[in-house]
Amino acid sequence: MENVVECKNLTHYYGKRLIYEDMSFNIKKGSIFGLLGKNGTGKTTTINILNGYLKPASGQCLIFGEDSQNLPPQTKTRIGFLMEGHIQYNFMTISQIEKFYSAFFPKWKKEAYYELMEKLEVLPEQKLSTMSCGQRSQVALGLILAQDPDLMVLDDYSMGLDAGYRRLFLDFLKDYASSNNKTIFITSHIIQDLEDFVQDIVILDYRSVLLSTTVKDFRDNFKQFNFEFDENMKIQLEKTDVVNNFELFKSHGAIYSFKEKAQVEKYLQQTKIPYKNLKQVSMSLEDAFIGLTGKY
Amino acid sequence: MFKALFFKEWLKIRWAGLIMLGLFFLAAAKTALNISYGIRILGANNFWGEIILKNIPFFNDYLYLPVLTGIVIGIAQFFPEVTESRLKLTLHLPLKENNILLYMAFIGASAVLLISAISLFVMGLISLTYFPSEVLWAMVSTSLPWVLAGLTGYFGTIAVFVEPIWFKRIFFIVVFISFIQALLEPSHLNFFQHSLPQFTIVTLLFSIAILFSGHRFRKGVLK
Amino acid sequence: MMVKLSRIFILILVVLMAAVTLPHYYRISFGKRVVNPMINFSPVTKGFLIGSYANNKFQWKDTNGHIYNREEADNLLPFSNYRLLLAKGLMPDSLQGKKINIDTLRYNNLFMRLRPKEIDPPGIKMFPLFESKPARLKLTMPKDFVRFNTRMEFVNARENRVEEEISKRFTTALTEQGFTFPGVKYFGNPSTRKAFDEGYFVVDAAGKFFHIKKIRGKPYCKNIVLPDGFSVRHMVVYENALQEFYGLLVNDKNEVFLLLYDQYKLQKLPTENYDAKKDQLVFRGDLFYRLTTVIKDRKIISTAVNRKYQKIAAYKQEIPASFGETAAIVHHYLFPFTLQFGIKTTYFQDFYFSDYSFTALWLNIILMFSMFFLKRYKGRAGLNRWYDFLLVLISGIFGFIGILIYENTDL
Repeated sequence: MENVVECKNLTHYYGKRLIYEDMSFNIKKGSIFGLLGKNGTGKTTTINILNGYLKPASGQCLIFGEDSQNLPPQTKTRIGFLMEGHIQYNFMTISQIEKFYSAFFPKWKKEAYYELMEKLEVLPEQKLSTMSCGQRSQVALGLILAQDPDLMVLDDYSMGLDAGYRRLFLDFLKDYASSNNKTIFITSHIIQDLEDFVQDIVILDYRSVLLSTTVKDFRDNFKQFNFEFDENMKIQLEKTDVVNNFELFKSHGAIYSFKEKAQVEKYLQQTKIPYKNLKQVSMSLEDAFIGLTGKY
Repeated sequence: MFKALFFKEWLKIRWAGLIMLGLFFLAAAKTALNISYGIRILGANNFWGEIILKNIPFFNDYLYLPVLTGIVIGIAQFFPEVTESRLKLTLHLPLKENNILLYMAFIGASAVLLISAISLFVMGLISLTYFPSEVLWAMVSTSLPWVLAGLTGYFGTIAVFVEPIWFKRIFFIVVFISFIQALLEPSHLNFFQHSLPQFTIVTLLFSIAILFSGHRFRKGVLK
Repeated sequence: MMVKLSRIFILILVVLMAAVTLPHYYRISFGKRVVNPMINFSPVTKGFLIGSYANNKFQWKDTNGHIYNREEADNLLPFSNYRLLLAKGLMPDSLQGKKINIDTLRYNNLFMRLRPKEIDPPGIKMFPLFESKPARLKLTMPKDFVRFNTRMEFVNARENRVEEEISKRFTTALTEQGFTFPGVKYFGNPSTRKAFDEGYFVVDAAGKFFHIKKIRGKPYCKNIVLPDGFSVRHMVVYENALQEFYGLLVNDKNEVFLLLYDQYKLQKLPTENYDAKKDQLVFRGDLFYRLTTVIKDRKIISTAVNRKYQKIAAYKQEIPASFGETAAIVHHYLFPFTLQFGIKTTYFQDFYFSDYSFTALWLNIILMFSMFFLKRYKGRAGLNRWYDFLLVLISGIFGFIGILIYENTDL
């Protein structure tokens, strides 16, 4: 299957601060790709590089085979871009902004936009600046849907939205994606919404990529094991290739691992940890994400 | 597509432009009043003498208006673009990034020129009512450097807005203000009579300054 | 490509503005006050007396180096200080065997000055032609202003309209004198604050010279016949009670004359090395002498003649530079050139480059090579930016500031 986006060996610094090193990922045509990570791990940085607003210290992104630093106008028509915080031209009205964008995109679908606008309690003459954050997000979404791009780049669509709007947003996206083999690149820090939405994910940590996989593999292979121990025991755990992450409380703990239960048990025995009742518990995607990246 | 871009710029600058035009008209009205008062008090011949012999522009209220127009139009046009990095949306439009910036600059500069031209025309009419044509031409040649200062102010403002690095911004402000100063300081009749082409060329050097800043904006330079 | 060009333009602007600003602040920081010496000719000592500042104190000195204090000098210059001397009762009754009459003394005291910027100044080419013989004696602003086009036109100020009748009258009078329209240059004192009016002296399109006055509303037009090849550059008209001459005339050969009342004859004044485009000319006259002083950038030259215009004495003096020796040398090493928008020899604004210094090439070359130590010019990438090196080589410190601030990254 052909790749719509290919990012190779991206490294970026802000001043001397390393954001990440040697990040590579591909986005397959027709897939929904999630870039997950806590705040400050470089999600927006990646989007900026992808859109040509940032030149990485090294590495390159290709979009539709073109260098993202120099996207020709024709390629730009194929990319829909949602800015973090649903930023749009808020000095325009609902109808002005539609009129404005329609001039740029040959496949413009006016109905798609107005269909969405009808659901909002807004008038065509209303200025974006007078709308609520949720309403603005729908305007931004409507514009992208009307543009009918082959690739959608959505930078933190969830920012500032309540649950209803987030759900609405994703429902529309799902519809759109399933209809005609479109590719979506989405970043978010609210993981639970994406659970049934994204297929491929890259999880970013500070300074590096933690994981690049599919949601299915991640959920199948990444496990949480809880165990108990005596309150007055001193337990010390380290991250290893078995223990990807762990949490210790007063008398119980959790180990996050890609390994099977048997291997974890073996590891605990080897390291002479006095555990009791080791058992695998089920996780949501968000649990798994936090399990992997930690709470801080 | 450029029509749409024009529409967007128009939405941003129309109020600023109208307000500036209003200011120009106020200044014109004040000038006309001053002239008519001066003629009533001094007599027409003595008032002519003040202008023709003492070389004092009777339209000095105009001196800073074009610069102000340039800066105000520049702010109206680019403040909404740089707040929340909205310029990213603009540069994402399916046109060449440099062309987008140049076209925006062209629209803003045209607005500055148009407003200056309309007001100069009004001033010209006032001038012709009270003074011989010599005074009109002296007025035009005296106020053209002010219009150049307006353009410089505009080009400078937009480059400063787009420029991501504070140090470069400040230095650029210093550069364009010193040029504006050179254009505005000698505010006597006809001082630029022989050098308008030279000063126009230097003003035009400012016109594409936004591209270098825009380039760094796109590359996300933080230094 | 456009981005590169944009940066080059910015660099040029930085160079231009730095070439204005840096030398300007250098001058403000290190420039010294230079006061041109005052040159007088004493009827008492019959020699030059030079007033100047030495160690921040004003003093008078003669050409033999003798120093006079203020009171002594006052007595040596009775014509300029007559008011003071009279008040003190020190005014001599006679000088050089001649009895001094204060009224005669007063109207024999003459002063004219011509600065380069007064020649062809900017402004509106119209002038008021005064009534030279006003009925109520006092000069008043006429109701119309004159312009030259294909004729001589009087424009009525109140109605902003050409007065046909008087225009025709003057045009006819001028035509009869052989005037070729339009008038190209005109000289006069458009002011009512003068004792009387001598009208205007006008150079016509053919280069001929005319005297135009309005006497009781009627034209007085006279072609002044000048020697062959005499081309009037400028005239300082000086309505003075002495009525010996109309004013000071400078021709294109930088010769200086007085235009006499006596049949418009020319009386040449001795000047040395005078260049009307650059030098200031000062004419002083008193009961006994005429003194012509040429003030150049670094030199002042004064020539004294008697009332028969026979040369008596001449005096020359260097004017100190506005920079001290060290400051001047540093200036030469620092700045390859300087730029000013306005200079003292003209009112017109322009790009005036000056102070070209080849000594500054040393600094330019050093700065250029120091660029190799800047990270971004290292290695082969640096050579692709050859024009940055060229810029620094030519503009030195000005361009260097430019490339430091507007560096050449990813272009």
